[in-house]
Amino acid sequence: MTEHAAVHSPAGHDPAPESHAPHADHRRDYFRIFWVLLVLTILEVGFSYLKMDKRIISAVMVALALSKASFVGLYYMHLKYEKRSLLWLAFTPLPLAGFYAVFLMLDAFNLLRGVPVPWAH
Amino acid sequence: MSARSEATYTAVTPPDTDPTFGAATTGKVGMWIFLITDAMTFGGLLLAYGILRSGNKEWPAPTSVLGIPFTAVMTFVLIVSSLTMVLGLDEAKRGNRLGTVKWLVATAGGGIFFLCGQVYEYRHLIHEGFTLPSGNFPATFYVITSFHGAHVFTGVCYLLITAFGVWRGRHLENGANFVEITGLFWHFVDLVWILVFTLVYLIP
Repeated sequence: MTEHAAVHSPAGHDPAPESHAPHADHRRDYFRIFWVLLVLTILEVGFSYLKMDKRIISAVMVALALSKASFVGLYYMHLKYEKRSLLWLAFTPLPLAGFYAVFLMLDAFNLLRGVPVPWAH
Repeated sequence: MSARSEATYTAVTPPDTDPTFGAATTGKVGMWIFLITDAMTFGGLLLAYGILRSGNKEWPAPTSVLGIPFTAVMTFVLIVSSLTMVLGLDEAKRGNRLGTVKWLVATAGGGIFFLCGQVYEYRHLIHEGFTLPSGNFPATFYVITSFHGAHVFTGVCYLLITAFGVWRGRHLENGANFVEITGLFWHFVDLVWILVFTLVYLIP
């Protein structure tokens, strides 16, 4: 197997394929991330019961949720250890989806407010 | 641990890789592309939820309708299942066949617990009159959470099939690439739930 892999290893390519790197550190990271996710979830649930400005609570919660999602993506899905091109593959569509979402929401809010649709006349 | 699994475990680049993506196999890149498209589907559903909610001043506070402590426990179980999944992958990369099977089955168990919790939650909510056609909030709630539940169910099947394969002595070659791809799907299910839990259940 080692010989087989050596034959097929992409010699001359970028360094880095770390997704098969030593595992002791990964294991420690896995437990750390678990505790971080747990604490952030408890914070989120606690925030949902606070009587504060809804916009502040919503912003804090979205920030906490995105942090948690990032931790899962980076450490549990190993994006942190992958080559950068895979990171680009994963994250390039996000701003595009963001643009799409913004324009869709603007359109939807106009419809909800009863703003006439130009092409319907 | 079988001699075969010892022999097949190597910390090297698997053969079916593309130089563009380093050590990521074509299977892993394919799974990532699938997950991105799946994320877009969830994004569309959450966007629809956000638009409907923003345009409706009568939208009830989710915390007054949904059982947050119960769902928090379900969320906790899903987070634990992500931990057991990476521990399973760790065992797979070490070539420990039985250890891998143990953690994969534990992960599937977490998924089954989550699904049972979702069925219990739905029964309770329907009994309270929170039914699919009773408004925009229930309609979007059931569509989003059941779509996620379908993913959990798929993930449980995927995990059990992978665990069975590992138990039969397969899937540990190429740096346990097959187990890692299974894990990607499962972590995605967890990641999406993190967003659904916040946006649908918690935001006041």
